Amino acid sequence: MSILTTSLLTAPVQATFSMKLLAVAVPYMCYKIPASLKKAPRNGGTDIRYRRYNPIPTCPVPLGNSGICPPPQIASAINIDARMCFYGTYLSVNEQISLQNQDPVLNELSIRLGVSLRQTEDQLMRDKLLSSATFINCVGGGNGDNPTEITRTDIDFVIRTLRNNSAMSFVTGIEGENKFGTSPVRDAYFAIGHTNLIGQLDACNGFINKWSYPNQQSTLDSEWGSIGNLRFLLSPIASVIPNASLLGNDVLSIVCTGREAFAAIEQDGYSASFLYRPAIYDSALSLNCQIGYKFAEVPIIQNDSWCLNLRCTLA
Amino acid sequence: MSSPINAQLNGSFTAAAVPIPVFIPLPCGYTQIKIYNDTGIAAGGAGVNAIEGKATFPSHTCISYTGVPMVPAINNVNGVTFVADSGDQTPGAAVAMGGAGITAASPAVVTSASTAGAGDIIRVYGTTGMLQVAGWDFTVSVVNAGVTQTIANLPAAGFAAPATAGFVRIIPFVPRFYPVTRRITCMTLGVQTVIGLNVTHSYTVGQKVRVTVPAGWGCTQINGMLGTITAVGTAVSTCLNTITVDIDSSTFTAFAFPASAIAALGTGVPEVAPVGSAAVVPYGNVFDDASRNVSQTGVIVDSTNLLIANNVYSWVAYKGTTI
Repeated sequence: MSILTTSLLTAPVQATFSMKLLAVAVPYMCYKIPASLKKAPRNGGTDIRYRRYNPIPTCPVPLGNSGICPPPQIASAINIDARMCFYGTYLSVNEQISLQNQDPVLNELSIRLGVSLRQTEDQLMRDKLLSSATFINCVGGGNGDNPTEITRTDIDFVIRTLRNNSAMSFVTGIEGENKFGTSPVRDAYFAIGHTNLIGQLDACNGFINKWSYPNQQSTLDSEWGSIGNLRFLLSPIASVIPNASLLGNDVLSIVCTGREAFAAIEQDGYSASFLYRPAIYDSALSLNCQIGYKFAEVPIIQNDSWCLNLRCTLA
Repeated sequence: MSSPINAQLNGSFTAAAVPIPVFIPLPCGYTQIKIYNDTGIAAGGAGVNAIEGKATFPSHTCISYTGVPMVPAINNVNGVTFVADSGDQTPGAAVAMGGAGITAASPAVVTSASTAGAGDIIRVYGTTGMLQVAGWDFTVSVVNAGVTQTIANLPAAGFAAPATAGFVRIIPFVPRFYPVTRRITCMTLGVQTVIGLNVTHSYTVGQKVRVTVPAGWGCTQINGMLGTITAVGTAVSTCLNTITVDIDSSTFTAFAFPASAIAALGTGVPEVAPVGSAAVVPYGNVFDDASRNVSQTGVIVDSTNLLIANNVYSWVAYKGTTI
């Protein structure tokens, strides 16, 4: 008996394309979460200036009865400037791709461009903080490197410094509730670091897992947990400085920040925009369409004493 | 047609009296450049008359055309490098220090076969001894090619002992955003304080900086103070990469690196962080401190054996559409 098999009678089309496209890795983008959002007005030149007045000293000594007026105080201020930059990228897509490919190419590329836009903004903020923020080396660990691995001592030092500088907390505490395995959470500053800190943070005294918070409603997706008055947001695209420790190991920078420490300034009238230019505008034969994005932004540190870069290595 | 296939850019530059590498900023996407030695060609063309580089070539590679008639040669030591992002901070390959390591002298001298040039930034780490500066970046001031790199910014005569081994990596570019936090290498105290910094600072007079000196480095009285830069370039020992700030440190204790053994246990780092500019005359309308992205795309043209002092060069850059 002869059996008709696929060797003798092949399928006319031997593959099926799955229309369900595979997931694309999208990292957490944390750096703009604590940033103030500001706008540079249109027709306002290339730079924008902010000003912070310095505190005026107190006057605890009585005026007395002499009737003589004391000399006036002299006020001073610091100007903080930023220069706008413009960014953008695009794809030029031939009409035959959308015509013949089975998957919705333009739809998917639009999504990828959106991620690219937001990740660029995140990267710019990260690079600004890495360039200009005051940094503090972790010294409490025992790994023989400089900086050392992160410890509770180092975290307390950062919190103490921020508190000494009167930095304002970002989030209020989370009140304790009668639930198993939970713990109240202090009011907190944000600390943004690399996901390689997972395990290192867990080993610090006083670490509270995010899932041990009494209430999950005020947590962020990228949040890993809290230690003292720092709530840690972790991302695989956070800062790592290669070979920058005493022994040549990678240094991880953890940006610890209070409220209004840094800002992202957008150009008014030039918000991030997605652009689609149909092929009709491309050439006489309408061959290629373009999709892209552009935006204008400049990151700025507005109060350097409220934003610290805690540097550590891994244990 | 709105999408040009071969948009072409032109420009020119003049080589320095002592030629140094030249960065030609180009919009991204440019893949080819031709550089002509206008001065040399007008004078008869005895030297390198033309240089041709492509983005597909390895770094520091070009085709150079020399003499009359012009003889082409592949130059893969000094050439042209296409740069996609001058904010890239990825260090170069590790190069072991030679026997002399880092001298405890002013200026400090690093012995290594690193290919850094004058003005480049190197990162030293993994040293044996002199752990105070392990993990630090420095601007190279003078080079004995393939043998030593002098670091004028590090007056190290006060160090107890040299580093006898270690590694060097070249940091290809400055960070993406100006202004940049820099580390303190030396200090002269007085009615005004002069502060030496590890890497070329590019600060200007009128900018405000916050000085951080953690415990163990002396001069902790200055820690956290804000100062206005009143001058740049006043020498502290061999270091000319300095700022003078209006902080009266006359009564402060002297700045000093901690002992190497202390650094091995982990120490903070003394630093100067830019915070803005003074809101006083004459800086009211000066925006030198403005936070800005200084990264670029473009081409680096090496100088050695390619550029001739004071010659004028014109260039043409091309891009094409890949099909």
